[in-house]
Amino acid sequence: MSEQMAADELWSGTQPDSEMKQLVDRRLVGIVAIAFIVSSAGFSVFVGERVEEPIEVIRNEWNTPTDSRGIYNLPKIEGRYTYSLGLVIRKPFEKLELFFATLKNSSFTLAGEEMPPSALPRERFGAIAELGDVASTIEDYAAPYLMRLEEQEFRVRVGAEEYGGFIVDLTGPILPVAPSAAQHGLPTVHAVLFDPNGTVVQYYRGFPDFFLARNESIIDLTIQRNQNVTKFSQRTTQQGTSLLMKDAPALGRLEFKDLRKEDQIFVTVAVNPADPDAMYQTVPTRDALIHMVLVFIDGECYHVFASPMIW
Amino acid sequence: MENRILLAAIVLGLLSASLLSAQQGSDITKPLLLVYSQGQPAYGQELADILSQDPRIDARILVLTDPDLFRSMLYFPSVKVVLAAFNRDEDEQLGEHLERFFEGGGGMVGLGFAGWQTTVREASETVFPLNASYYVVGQYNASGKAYMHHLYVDQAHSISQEVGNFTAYTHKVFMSFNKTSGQLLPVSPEGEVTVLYREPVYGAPAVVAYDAAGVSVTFGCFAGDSVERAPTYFGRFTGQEEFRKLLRNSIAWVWANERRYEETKSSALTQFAKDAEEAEEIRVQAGRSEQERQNMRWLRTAVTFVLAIVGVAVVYWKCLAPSPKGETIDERADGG
Repeated sequence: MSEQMAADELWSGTQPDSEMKQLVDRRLVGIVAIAFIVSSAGFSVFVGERVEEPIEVIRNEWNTPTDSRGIYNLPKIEGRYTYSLGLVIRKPFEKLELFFATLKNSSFTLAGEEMPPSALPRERFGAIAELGDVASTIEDYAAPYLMRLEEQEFRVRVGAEEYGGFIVDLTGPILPVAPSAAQHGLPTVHAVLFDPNGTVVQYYRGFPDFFLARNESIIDLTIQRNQNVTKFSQRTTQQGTSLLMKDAPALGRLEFKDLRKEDQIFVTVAVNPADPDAMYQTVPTRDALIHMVLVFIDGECYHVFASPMIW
Repeated sequence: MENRILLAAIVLGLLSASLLSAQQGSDITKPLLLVYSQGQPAYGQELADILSQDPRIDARILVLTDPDLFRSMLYFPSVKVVLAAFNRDEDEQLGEHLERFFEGGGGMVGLGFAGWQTTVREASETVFPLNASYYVVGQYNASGKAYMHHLYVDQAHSISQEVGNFTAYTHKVFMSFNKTSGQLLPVSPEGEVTVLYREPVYGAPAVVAYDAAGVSVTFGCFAGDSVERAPTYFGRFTGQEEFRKLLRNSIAWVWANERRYEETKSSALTQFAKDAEEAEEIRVQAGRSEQERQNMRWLRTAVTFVLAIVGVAVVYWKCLAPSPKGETIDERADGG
């Protein structure tokens, strides 16, 4: 039966019962088809286009043993331990910045006034003697001088406990005019940890770089964007595939521009934690560190990764 | 290109406006006077209080005792003058940073162990030119319960002009001295040294003004601590009018003669403005890209809706629409 004849019979009112059944089936197919079209369109518009996060973190870890509280343990002996950060771009944007810093526990220098429970993290940080004065002084100059001063809250998990934290990075205002010889080793990054009541319990200070003492402790550094890999190490290889570590991006600051969807960014820092001063020490010492990576998207802080560790 | 020029103009405009408003307002963007008092916050605060009353020094004063913070702040572009009181023989790895500040044309005043070899290393020659490794203790004054040195004027200078000879209630005077030969050792820095005061026992320089890459005034005395009963208690000399005048005059002299502040501030402002311009450019570009993505989303949504409506219409027309006679499929199915 041709399509035209079927249509004529459909509306002629003379079709038999079996054809009536076919007619009802067609109505059902129509309803299902409309439902499919509407739901597909709705899904495409309301769900399919909605990508919540601009980046997906696929790796953020130290390849070191951890203790019972989940703190990374870097033994002060010869070895190769790596930190890996892997990001996949889910939404295009202009600029991705990664600021690395390694901070040592300096809680013994803490002093300051008690703060009421309602005080904000910035206010608690500001109440720390001298450190608060320095931060507020620089803060006052920052706005009129257009300085970039980073102050961020973050969270760090130690075992079952999660601590709130506040980091102040004074690198931007202090280091731009410092001679390059002076830049490495100037403690311009400061962070405090709060207990659940909001009391400052620990204070860390450190340097903006991939790890402490880059020319001694970092074995190699790999920076990768998709298939483009740049590797830095203490010595150049015979094939010339590796650059010298001293020429790695200054102050542990990486910048990627014009990020496309599905771009992949990997950074791997391999360190040798052997302590060069160990032979002079009569009592072995260990430092509590926080290794931090501040992630900025188009100039705005997106996330702070904080890895507590013992070295 | 036009966008870049526009952005640069916006950033420069913002910078000028914010600087102007800051200058018209409080003292937040005044030049910074950094006071470092090694391990003695009360002494540092006392020095700051003395200086804050001097109309010649239009500064914001920041007092520090933490060597790490002090080391960092030496590179902050708004620091104009540094007053460093070293109160003990302890190397805090500050020497090379003091040298860099001075070599950049900075102005500094050093007290106590500032010119002591093992405290500031090479800076005891290149910044605070005493190169001291020996000290002489003053005479004990039982009634004042303090040690004292009679300091006498050597070369005339604006710093000592109103003060003249005086007795300083300070425990030690530091000097470069050879114990074996019993003679003072010559100190030969590169710049011009003016000995303002000498102590009478060996005739050693006790206060010197130094003009080289930067300018400094070094007091080979006035190391203080906060223990009130100690002979080195800072309150024994900070209350003396001669000390207060000398300190203020010294800061005023380095304030007027330092060569770092304007240059550093200018290059820092250029750098900050450049960074801000780049950041603004990124923000604008990011906003534009986001707007384009938003527009594309709307377009895609509109196209999807149009296609969906067309699809629904076609399906309706094919499967559900009433017959040309006006009967619906339901009516036809019911046999009506």
